[in-house]
Amino acid sequence: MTTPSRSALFEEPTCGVNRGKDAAAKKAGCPAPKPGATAGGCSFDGAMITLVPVADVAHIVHGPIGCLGNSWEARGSASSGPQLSRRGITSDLGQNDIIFGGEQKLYDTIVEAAARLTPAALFVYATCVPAMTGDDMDAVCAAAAQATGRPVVPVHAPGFAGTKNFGNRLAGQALLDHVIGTREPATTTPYDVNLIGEYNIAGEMWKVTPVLARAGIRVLASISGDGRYGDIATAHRAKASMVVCSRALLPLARGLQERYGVPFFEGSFYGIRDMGASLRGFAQAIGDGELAARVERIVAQEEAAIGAALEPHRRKLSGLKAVLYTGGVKSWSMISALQDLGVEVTASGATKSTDEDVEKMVELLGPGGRVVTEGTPATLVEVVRETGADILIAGGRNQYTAMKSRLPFLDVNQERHTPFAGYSGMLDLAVALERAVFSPVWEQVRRPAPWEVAG
Amino acid sequence: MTTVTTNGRRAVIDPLKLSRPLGAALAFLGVSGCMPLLHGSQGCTAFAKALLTKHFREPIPMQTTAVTELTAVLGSAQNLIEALDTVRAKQHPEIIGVITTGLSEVSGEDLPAAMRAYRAGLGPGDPLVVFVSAPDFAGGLSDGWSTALTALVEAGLQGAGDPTGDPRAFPVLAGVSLTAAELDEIALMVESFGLDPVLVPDLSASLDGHLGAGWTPLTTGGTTRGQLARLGTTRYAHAVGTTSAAAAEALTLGSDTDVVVSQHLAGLDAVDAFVERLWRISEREVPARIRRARSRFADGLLDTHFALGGARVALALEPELLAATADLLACSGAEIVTAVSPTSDPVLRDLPCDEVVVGDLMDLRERAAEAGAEVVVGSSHAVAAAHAVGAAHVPLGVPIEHRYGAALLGVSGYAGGLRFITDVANALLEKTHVTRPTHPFSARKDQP
Repeated sequence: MTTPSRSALFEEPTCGVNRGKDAAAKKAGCPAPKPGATAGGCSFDGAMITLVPVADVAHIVHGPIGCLGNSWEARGSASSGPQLSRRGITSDLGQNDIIFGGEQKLYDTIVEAAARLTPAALFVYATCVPAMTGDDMDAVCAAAAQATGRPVVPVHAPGFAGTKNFGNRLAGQALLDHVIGTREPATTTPYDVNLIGEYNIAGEMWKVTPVLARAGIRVLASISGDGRYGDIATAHRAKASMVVCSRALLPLARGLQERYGVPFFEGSFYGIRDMGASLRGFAQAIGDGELAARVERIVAQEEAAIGAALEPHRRKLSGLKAVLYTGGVKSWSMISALQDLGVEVTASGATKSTDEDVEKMVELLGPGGRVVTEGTPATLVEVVRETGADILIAGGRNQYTAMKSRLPFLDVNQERHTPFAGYSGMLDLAVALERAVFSPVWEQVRRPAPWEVAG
Repeated sequence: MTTVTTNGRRAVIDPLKLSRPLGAALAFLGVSGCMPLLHGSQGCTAFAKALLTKHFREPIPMQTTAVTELTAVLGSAQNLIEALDTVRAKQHPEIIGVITTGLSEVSGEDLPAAMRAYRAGLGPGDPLVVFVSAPDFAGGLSDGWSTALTALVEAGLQGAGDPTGDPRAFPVLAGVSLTAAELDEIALMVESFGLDPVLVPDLSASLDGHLGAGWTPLTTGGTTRGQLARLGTTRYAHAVGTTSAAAAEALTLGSDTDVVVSQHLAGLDAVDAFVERLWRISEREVPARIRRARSRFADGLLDTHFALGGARVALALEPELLAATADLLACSGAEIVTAVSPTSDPVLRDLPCDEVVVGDLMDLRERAAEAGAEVVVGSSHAVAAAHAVGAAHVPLGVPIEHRYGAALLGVSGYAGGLRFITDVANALLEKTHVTRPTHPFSARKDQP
């Protein structure tokens, strides 16, 4: 990695783990993954998750085919306009590029992509192989920006740098270093905000933005669901930022605060209680009494409406038990959303959570709840069995583990096709839970064939 | 003779190519009690695993040696050894497929030497450890499959501790393109001649989508270690697809087995030749069931030729699947107006069309539009191109993520060929618009 410097990255006050370390431990960075017993994506994956939702940008992967060829079109982030970020672009490094260097190929790739796809900007992602061979990506990006007349942003998050979370974070750093603050908004309002870490999976941000609009809150920059390069470049003019379910992007929010004085708060759009808290969070961060009053009116209206709509579903779902296994902040946020529906969460995963996340989680789960720290498929199935849960709620990676164990399953991660955010998302969540748990298939597949019981 | 060209572009836009380690891992997933282990960054495994999970809708066993920035520079052989020890202790596999990646290949370490040293310490009760070199920056999915299949055959020949071969055993070395449905039909044909099919590898026993007793961390079926060890003892064997040709050569060189390679088993001629060989080897009558399947296929050719005759088809597929599909459709009367392959292969020089491009899905989009293609055949990644062109999309290849039933697709065999030409013909029928007059004078003036 050329930029940013490693020591600076591991001096992170918003990271609870890091705060507890001494100087030597800080320098060593995050713990290394265990060979032969590691699951989950790399930093490059994380950087792509954070930035690819920017819809009018051409996203170029500088590496051999595996990094993009095996991963593109896999993410469920929706755009209301340009679909450019759905395209997959790569320098597809071959043997000669490894031997002689891939800089020329990358330059040509950027110039060709700019000419053919006319993007608002180009983001260039480093991967392990060119990071090893020492291609000077910063220099190539600078030269290509000159030649194309478009912003070309280097993103230094090669896979071997660490986990997916670390990649999210490095992507945030790239925005802070190269994009934010480079343009001025055409107009501003006293209620301009940034959403940080909301990826508009299955279009769920669109369930939230109308509510924000009713309160008079304008989303200046979305980082990055349905995002646009030009908007993100003006994010420094927002009056507040909300960090949505993403620990890893807290440093970006902190950077916005330190460099441009934009205050931030953490929140979630999942669940009735957290929606209310987030709306109030905006009012508080902006510090506007009128807004606070508007927010209270809207929260009361929305809660009354969704409360009535959910009533028949609550009757069906009440008493159901679920095991939740998802990353970080989303864990406690989903627990509260499920509890809002009358579902009891018997156990929740905490692999990617900080101490504060776990604290909140334990508080929500109550005395009977279990915190699961090891997320292997075998463990999850066991926890579901032991706690008598009716459903496993997790990321797509565990979907077929559940199927093979004949357990109902609901996908709550970035590849899903159902939006769960906002007040109306609660209805979708309720319906999805009902369809999963009360499907007629379970009784059939759990029953042995006649010849297996006869005789 | 087909002209093989490239697009002359430097940027790859909408890649058709998948990675070489992915192809190698896929081959190992057709081996029983196996754990593929990718020697690279954790993302190399995560991406490959996620793609195959969505394609097959099955849990995919796959582990990583988790090479980091530090170990990539200082030496990652220790990661590999630690990972092998961990996988052995935790999952107790019968076979471990060690697959390198771009990252572990670029550091220039002598990994084969490290592997030899590790293998020397293994006893008879320990798992078979098969090593495959698969740099991401050379070749693609097909090359990875071909290398891994060859390594599996060679490992079987080396470990040939069981000389008591079954005279009825008939190994089929399977190419990368064969789905569970195609493998089923091939196995059924072999079986119906009184022979015992041994599929190598056998995705129809591991990733066919079956509900077993519960979840397990390794492959749930496939070619067994014992079957691999008996490979060299059979009299006859067959290889299907160009990605099985190298393994067929290894088997021929390392044994007295008579191996025949079919480029593919799509279309009447190709399937007939395969059945003819089974008929000669077994010295049995061709069973009624097979004659019936052939007559159904022949009838289907007649029925669908009204739709398929002159139909303009664009294909974007791995080389051997491209050859199979192009031959089947051309024999049905369709015209292959665009052919795109992710990587180069000798089989591309002999396609039933003038030109094939080694390129990406941008090539498919541009050329299919220019040629006025009515149908696009390809993976889920080709759907956007089909829409852009205004053509129907018929799913085939990897990955299939936007539809269910990837294991049920295919072009091989009498039944498989019939299903495929029926699907393409139906896609054409559904696309047909209401007929309108082309000249203004032909239009009646209806009263409003």
